[in-house]
Amino acid sequence: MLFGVLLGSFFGATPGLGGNIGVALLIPFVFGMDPYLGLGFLLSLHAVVHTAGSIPGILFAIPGTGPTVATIVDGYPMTQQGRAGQAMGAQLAASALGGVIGAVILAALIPVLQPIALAMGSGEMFMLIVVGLTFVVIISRESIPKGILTALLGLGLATVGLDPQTGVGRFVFGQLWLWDGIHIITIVLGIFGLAELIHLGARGGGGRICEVDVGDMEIGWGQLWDGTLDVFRNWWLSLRTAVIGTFVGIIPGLGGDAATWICYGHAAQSEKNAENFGKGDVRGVIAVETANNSKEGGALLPTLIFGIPGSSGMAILMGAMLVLGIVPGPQMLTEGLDMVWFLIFILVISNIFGALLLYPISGYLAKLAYVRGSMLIPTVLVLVAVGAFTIRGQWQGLILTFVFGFLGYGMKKWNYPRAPLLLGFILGPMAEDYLHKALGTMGPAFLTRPLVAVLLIIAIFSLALSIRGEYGGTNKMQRESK
Amino acid sequence: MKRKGETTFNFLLLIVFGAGIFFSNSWSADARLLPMAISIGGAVLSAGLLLSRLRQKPINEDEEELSEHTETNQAEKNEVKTTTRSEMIIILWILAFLGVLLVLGFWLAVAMFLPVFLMVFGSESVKTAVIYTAMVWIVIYGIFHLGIGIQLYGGILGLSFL
Repeated sequence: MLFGVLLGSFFGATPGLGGNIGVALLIPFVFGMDPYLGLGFLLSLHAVVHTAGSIPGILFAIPGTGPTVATIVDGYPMTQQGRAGQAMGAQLAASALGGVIGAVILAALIPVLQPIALAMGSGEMFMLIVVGLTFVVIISRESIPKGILTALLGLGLATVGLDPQTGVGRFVFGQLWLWDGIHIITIVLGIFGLAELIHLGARGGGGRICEVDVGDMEIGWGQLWDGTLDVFRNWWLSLRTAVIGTFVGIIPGLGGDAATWICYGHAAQSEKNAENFGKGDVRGVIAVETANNSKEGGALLPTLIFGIPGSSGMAILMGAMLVLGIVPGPQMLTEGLDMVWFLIFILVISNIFGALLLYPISGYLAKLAYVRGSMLIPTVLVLVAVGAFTIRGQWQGLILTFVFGFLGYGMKKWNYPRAPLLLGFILGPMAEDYLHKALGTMGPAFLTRPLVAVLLIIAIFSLALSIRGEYGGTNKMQRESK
Repeated sequence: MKRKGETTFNFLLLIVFGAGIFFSNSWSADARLLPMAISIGGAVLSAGLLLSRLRQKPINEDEEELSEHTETNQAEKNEVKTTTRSEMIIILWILAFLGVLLVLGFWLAVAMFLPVFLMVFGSESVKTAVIYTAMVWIVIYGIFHLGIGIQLYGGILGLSFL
């Protein structure tokens, strides 16, 4: 398990690799192993991938894994302000706490899972995603029209590739490599990683990520401890986002990316002084990180009990289960209950282990923010290129990443929020898929289903309140300044 | 300068969404439902933003003319010029890396680009540049090639000899 945690930290922290590649690469090695040993090893690896995956995101705006993208929104500005240690302390503590809460909820939900999962049809799933899309307004505080525009761009980018419903190649221009669509990591490496490198390089060779001078002591344990305490100071937020993350994780197909953004949006909407979100607010890191790890507990539930993987990582893990002779399904609640409890135990312990392992090295990693740009730029540039290529092994992916890099820099320079683009890109294909399924089975009448109607009302109210709050606040400020 | 750049950027987005409408028009109704809706929405919004920017222009130009001779304004203009120059320099470096990478592949590109970048852009000494490049090269090779067994891009010239 300790070896799994170590490997998971490595795969998570290396951009372009991620837990899915890690588990996929190691499945052949567990073949023939004792099922408890083999699955325990792979699950512990998978459980800590996102804990480590946030570190390069916080330090260099390069996420190690897809679901850690949302951490950048507040984590990277904290690094720029000289608070990388605090961001990492909060991230590690929130990840561990989220992972433990997710596992506890998983244990508690086992007896009551079936009716909840069956209540979510295509219509409900579609409407849940629509609720998620309304968060675009919340994370576009700088300019709502620009935020909506970038979200539309993200939604449009998500349609590139073969349409799963009709088989029509959309925006592929006869290019075979575009048939699978654009990978999220390609976009993120470009619009965040590369764009930040250009920003850093524009300040000359002596430029650094961190724009303020902070003494060595402040980057170390002091900041880490402060960040850790922040998780407990904001205990109500931590608990809420961990619970939401777990429940989003339970819903198959929604995935970790959605869980983190939904929790980020929830935090930005419900917390006081929400205008600080996106500018280096530790609560933004906490909300994302608790959800990031808690959703793994949730995702394990449908994987084990129904044989429906809750995420792409769980799908690979399910493959490993079959290799080890474990057949997921309702019988896991009777014949395989020992295995279920064993996996819950592994989730708890590996999340705590993962955070403890990363604590001692986080202080040193945070100092990377003070390395001269002349040294950092080529190194990170090489890592970005390696990540962009390894995702699909295509050289075209390299060019695409660089194109997104220039797009991201333009967005940064001219104040177009970048987070809504990702939100649109992540939620777009799921929304389209569930909409087609809902229309195919019930037609427009799916809107009359009780849960769908409730979610629609929530979406409308959420949007209206956010816009009213935003413009109401702006008008109030204008009146006060007059 | 910033305003001009932003207007151009906005115009580019309008072209992108316009192209989206044009291309999606030829697909079947089911396939074009979402892309068409997104493209129309994006085109309308970007056109609106563009118009609002163009309408603001004359007022700001007057302001600029009024304050053109002040020292602060001149200093700001100089700063903008310097920033634009720095941006162009780093963008050209990044494009150069991409070019070398596509032609020669990872291993040669890293070995060639890093020391030149460190010495020219970063003003590092030859010794530092060589040692640092060797370290990065070895780490990348050790992790990705030896450790994970990933075959990194060999370049157009097909130099994936390692």
